[in-house]
Amino acid sequence: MAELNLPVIDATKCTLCGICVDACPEEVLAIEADALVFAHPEQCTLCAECETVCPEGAVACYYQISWTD
Amino acid sequence: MNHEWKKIKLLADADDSVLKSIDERGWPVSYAEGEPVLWEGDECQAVYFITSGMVEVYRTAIDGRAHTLRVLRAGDSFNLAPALMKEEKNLANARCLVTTDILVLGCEDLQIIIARHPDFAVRILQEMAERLADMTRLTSELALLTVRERTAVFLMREAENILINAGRRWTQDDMARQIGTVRDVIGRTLRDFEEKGLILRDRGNISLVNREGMERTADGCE
Repeated sequence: MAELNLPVIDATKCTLCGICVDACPEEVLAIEADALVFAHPEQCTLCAECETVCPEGAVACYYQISWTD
Repeated sequence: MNHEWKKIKLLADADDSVLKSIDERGWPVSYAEGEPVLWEGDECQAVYFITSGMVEVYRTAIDGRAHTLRVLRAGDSFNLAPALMKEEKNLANARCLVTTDILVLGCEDLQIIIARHPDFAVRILQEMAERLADMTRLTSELALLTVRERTAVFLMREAENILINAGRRWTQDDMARQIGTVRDVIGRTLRDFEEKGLILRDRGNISLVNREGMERTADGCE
């Protein structure tokens, strides 16, 4: 998943509470067959809202920080 | 002699007799990504010198929140302060952020070498003075700057260090540990910075696009 620049889900921490599914503005995430999945990965903007709201710290969005001016 | 010792900043100017003494007593250890090196509160047994990789030194609160004190790279050393104190415990936790090679020197051996080599003792004093300055800066930032200001300072510092940090990517949790806050506050602060045109988030990159605005934010003027 990291190669696709998607959030990284730690399945050992995820409780399938669904808060990230509701918070995702692009409806990228879904819970299917007792697993958190990327239903629409192509729509992910890596806004990190899923990481922000996850109460278990199960989601990680990785950023590099740089100047562009 | 293990020539890796010469990579260590603290030993860069050490004469051969110091290096020989350290080499006779020290030993190398390799750690996997995420592996702990030491725990806060455990009996201090050694000082550690990084020859490759990256180590986070941090403390934790009883509720599980963590605060990063330092992120160290090849050439850096850690656990020096408790190693110089008698019957002391480790002051912080340390874990490897990537695969890391470390040279280890026992506390008693360190103290013996310092006692025998005054020049090395002076170098240790200089190192401790630099760490005191770093801790003073950190304490000052935590006490005097808001989370918003600290976030701006952190982003600018990391953007300047992009070559040193080659390949380092940060999660909001990583940033929170560095800045001394929690993940959702970082999320809100980054969103606010984005709305004010200070940064752009674009698929894995946080780009600082307004230097004057970032500097004013770090100074508490925005």
